[in-house]
Amino acid sequence: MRKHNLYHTLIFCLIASIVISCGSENQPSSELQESEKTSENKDNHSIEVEIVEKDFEFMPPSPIQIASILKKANMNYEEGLTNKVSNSKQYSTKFKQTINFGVYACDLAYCVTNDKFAEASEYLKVSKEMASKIGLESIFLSDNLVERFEKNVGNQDSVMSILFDIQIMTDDYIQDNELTDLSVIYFTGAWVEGMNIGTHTILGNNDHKISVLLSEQMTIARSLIRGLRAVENQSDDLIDLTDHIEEVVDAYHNLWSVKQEGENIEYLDVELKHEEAISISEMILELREEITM
Amino acid sequence: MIGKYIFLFLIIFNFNPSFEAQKEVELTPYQERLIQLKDFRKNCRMALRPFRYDGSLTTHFTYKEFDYSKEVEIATIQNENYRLSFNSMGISHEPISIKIYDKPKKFINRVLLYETTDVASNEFTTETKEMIEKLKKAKSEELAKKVDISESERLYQQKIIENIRLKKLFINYIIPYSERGYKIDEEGNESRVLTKGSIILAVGYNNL
Repeated sequence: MRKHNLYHTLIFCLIASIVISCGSENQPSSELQESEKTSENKDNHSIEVEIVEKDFEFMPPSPIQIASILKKANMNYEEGLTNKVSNSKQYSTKFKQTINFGVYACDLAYCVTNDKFAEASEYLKVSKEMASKIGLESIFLSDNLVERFEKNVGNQDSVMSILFDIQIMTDDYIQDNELTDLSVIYFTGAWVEGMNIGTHTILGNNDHKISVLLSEQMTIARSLIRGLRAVENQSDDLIDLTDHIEEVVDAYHNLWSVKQEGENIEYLDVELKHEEAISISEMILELREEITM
Repeated sequence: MIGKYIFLFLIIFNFNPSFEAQKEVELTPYQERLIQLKDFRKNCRMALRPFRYDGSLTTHFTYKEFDYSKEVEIATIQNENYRLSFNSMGISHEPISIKIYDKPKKFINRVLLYETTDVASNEFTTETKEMIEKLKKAKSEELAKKVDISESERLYQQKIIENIRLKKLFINYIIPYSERGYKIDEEGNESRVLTKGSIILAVGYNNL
């Protein structure tokens, strides 16, 4: 009996060794080929790798910064301004999912900066859902972000720090995986949402700070348009959206208050007349409806 | 009995030397590079403190047989001081230069706000506060040279200069030329070696 057991054990050890060695040999074969191709360059400190170089590079402000601008402009939280979480189910194309990932990212930051943690928690979940649809799921899976968020509800500093972690991981993931096109579209969503929240407040409030806020946001519009036009896969949805943004931006630059500043517009905050702000606000609301409906 | 086999399997699995060694060779140079860049980005972000992180951008470039520049645009939309943190640890070949302007390349009257040379294997920061002062100075000098404007227009322009802001920055990475390199493989085929580098920029803003 003891001899029989010994045979079993020996046979098992042999099989286990074969399984392990086969597994480890199969796994990196393609990678080995790649390293052979590049090993010479590595020794010379000349890295010949498959990193794509872009002709146009633009670093937009983060959704968190957009939300903090709204906060600094003394804009109180208004219920119903953000995109409904339930709308997420109707975004079936990757374009809609990507742009609304940006919209929700801005809404999430807007809720957190205004201590609306219950709402923020919902926006974090929907952001995670959108992220998984557009290939960014690993960001939300790492570091138990959702759990950490829920544990810290009520503590703005801790929650903000989690939002920054998400931002950093998103930036890293986008750069490591060369997803610049995706980031331009998602940032456009955050930008439109920031303008939407700002303009809603303008319609009921004549505060000059909010008018200035609009002019701050418009500064980057041309760069966004350039970024959107540079996206490799130009779908009809994307072309329509870019044209629509261009229409809004042209209308803004044709306003009397903007025109009279001439070249100085690049360096100054422009205070719009109330009726000018309203006409631009209406265009922005239309734009926002186009992306969230 | 089954427990004994599982125990044995785990022992073999953990101590199999070929498996351990394999773990080390799994990374390709490309993957190694990405990990390195991730570390550099982390350091670059750390250098922003106590400013609040806003974003980062890694610019990859290839050395060519002539000098050329790559332009990166950043938005500094808040009326705040911004800190730019550069990490050039991803440049191990010829050092590059950095020039920061208020306008893009196509404008001949753009103002040079910051300049540095010998950028390779190092880290440094700069802030927009100093750049705004430079811009104000350049604009004041430009205004002083104008003789065909009325006094009221001059006063108006002076007022604008006093309140000037930098809403965008255009960072130019100037990449020097590099001799063309070639390699010959075992079969005697000659191919060009592309020499690349990467520079990381992180941006943060004063949140007070």
